[in-house]
Amino acid sequence: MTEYLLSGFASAFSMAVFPVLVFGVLGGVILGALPGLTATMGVAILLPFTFGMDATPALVMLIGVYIGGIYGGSIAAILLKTPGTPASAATVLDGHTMAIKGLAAKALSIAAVASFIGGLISTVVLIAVAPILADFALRFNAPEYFALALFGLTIIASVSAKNIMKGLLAGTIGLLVSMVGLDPISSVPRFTFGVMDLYSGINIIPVLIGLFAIAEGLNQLEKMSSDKQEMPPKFSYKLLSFADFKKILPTSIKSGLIGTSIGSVPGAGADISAFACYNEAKRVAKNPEEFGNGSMHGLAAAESGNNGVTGGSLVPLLTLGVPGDAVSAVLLGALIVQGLTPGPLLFTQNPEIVYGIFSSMIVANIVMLIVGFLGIRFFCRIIEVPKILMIPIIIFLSVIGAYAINNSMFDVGIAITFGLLGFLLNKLDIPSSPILLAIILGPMAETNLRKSLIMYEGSWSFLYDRPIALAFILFAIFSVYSTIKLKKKERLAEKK
Amino acid sequence: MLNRNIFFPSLIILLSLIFLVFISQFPEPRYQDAPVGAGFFPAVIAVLQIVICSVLIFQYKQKQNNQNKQKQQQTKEIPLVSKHSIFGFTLLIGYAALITLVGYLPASLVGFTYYLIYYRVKKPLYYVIAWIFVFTIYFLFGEVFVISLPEGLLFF
Repeated sequence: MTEYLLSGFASAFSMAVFPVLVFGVLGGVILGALPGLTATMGVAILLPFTFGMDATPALVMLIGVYIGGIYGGSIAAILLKTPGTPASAATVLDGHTMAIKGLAAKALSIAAVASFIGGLISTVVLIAVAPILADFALRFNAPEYFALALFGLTIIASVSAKNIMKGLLAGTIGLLVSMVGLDPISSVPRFTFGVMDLYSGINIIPVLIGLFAIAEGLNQLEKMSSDKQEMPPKFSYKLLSFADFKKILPTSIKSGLIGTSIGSVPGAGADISAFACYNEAKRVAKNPEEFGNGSMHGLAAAESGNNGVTGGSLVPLLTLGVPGDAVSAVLLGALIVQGLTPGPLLFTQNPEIVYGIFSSMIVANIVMLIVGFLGIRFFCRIIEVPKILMIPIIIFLSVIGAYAINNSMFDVGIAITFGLLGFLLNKLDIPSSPILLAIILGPMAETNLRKSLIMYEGSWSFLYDRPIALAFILFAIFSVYSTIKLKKKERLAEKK
Repeated sequence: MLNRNIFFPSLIILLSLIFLVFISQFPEPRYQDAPVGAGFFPAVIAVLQIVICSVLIFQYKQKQNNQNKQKQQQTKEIPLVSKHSIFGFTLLIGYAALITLVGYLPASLVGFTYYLIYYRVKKPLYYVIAWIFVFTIYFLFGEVFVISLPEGLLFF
């Protein structure tokens, strides 16, 4: 492992990879900093650029965008009270209050340091746990994969913003979309209506581009005329002191670990993690009343928590082939485009790529920290990019990106359709991310359920007589139970 | 006017019922070892959708009953589509159609310029940035990453 890691570092600092990595992080920070542009969208937009690249630089660039994008979201959240990404929604609570108090630079530097700590912890855990998990994953058979997919699908409940039923509805829409094409077991055409392009199923990348990039572009277009131009707050140049660093360090480490755990669960993303870490930091804080009024701990918890997801979400992606969140779903697409199959065999067949990614993630986090500190003055200018120029750029890039996957206008049609669907669902307060997760996990659940039933000659006993499968099913039940309990608590708190 | 919170779930219920009809026409498994056929999973999902949508309609009705009428009158629903979103849809579909006909470069130049004119942008710099963006993408995709962009049916 050590030699692979060292060669990974050598690769990360090579002339073929390092500039791409820096470009990725920088691009991610800029994209994330622009309100409305998420890390998912950034990775999705840049994905077509990687089609002609080698596997390592392509994946490193996308991971750089991911890490940079999650951090970048905090910049607009702190300065403009507009979270650049959903993951930064919790950052607004204390970050913007600090900026109002004239501590904008301090808030930005706390965000950079906490993001770095969260990202670094997450990567270390990924390096330490991923190979063990990969060995464990080799014991997986159809019943275990079905139970795992089922567990992943239950997380849809927690990604559902306010109303679990709406999230579940989005999930079922995604599951039905994933059924389009030839049935994986008996090759019966389903919902193809004689359209040849539908026989191979609906490609996930145009769906993703549509749901995230196009839908967001349309949302921003609509908001553009109604939004009053909010002036950026005045900028103070006082950065984080060493004493402040010592204060936020325990919170950042704890949140980084929580974020990594949340990220490693398929279906849970950086937005959930940020809030979970924020709540946990508030729960154990000596002065919880400071939270929401410019607490350094609150800001550090949210930022370390959302960056902690970056490595965590790659654990199930690389070891089991199950994406932890929407960004890793795009990364899954990137791996497939490069001819790599995510899963346990990736560690034995392509260790140089896996460890290259790990080493690059550490380097990417360091680059992000440097960019974060050096760019504090510059960020204030970037977030002033007029939306009138950004929106068509998003829309045109999305159309071109969807076309470039298969050189097919059919995929453009799919992206546009899902763009409109995503836009309308947003109006109905129905979250889009469950659709994506269901499209990914649906075929896995169906194929493995039917394989299991064939293996057990029609008996459903595989659900309880295989320990790993049973454990995942129990996790799934616990996950649904805890989500319902949490939502009830939130509702009660809102009423009070 | 039909409420969106009733209309959308009702539409999904209707579509699910139509799907169930389609699913019933899927061929049954021909070999003995396959306990469930191609229609099993989609049928379960369609039934689930009907249940979820019914719950959503019920939830909404219950919420409506709990709110007093005065409050209901005060809360105005944001329209589903606005002038700007309709322009967005049109731009998107028009751009996709134009790109199919004339290819990436002319379609993007025309599309971006039309968008700026529609929003009455008077700054020449924005037009220059738009055109530079279009040419940069053309260069990046075509020359750097060697990814083909739509060439247009008219120019074949």
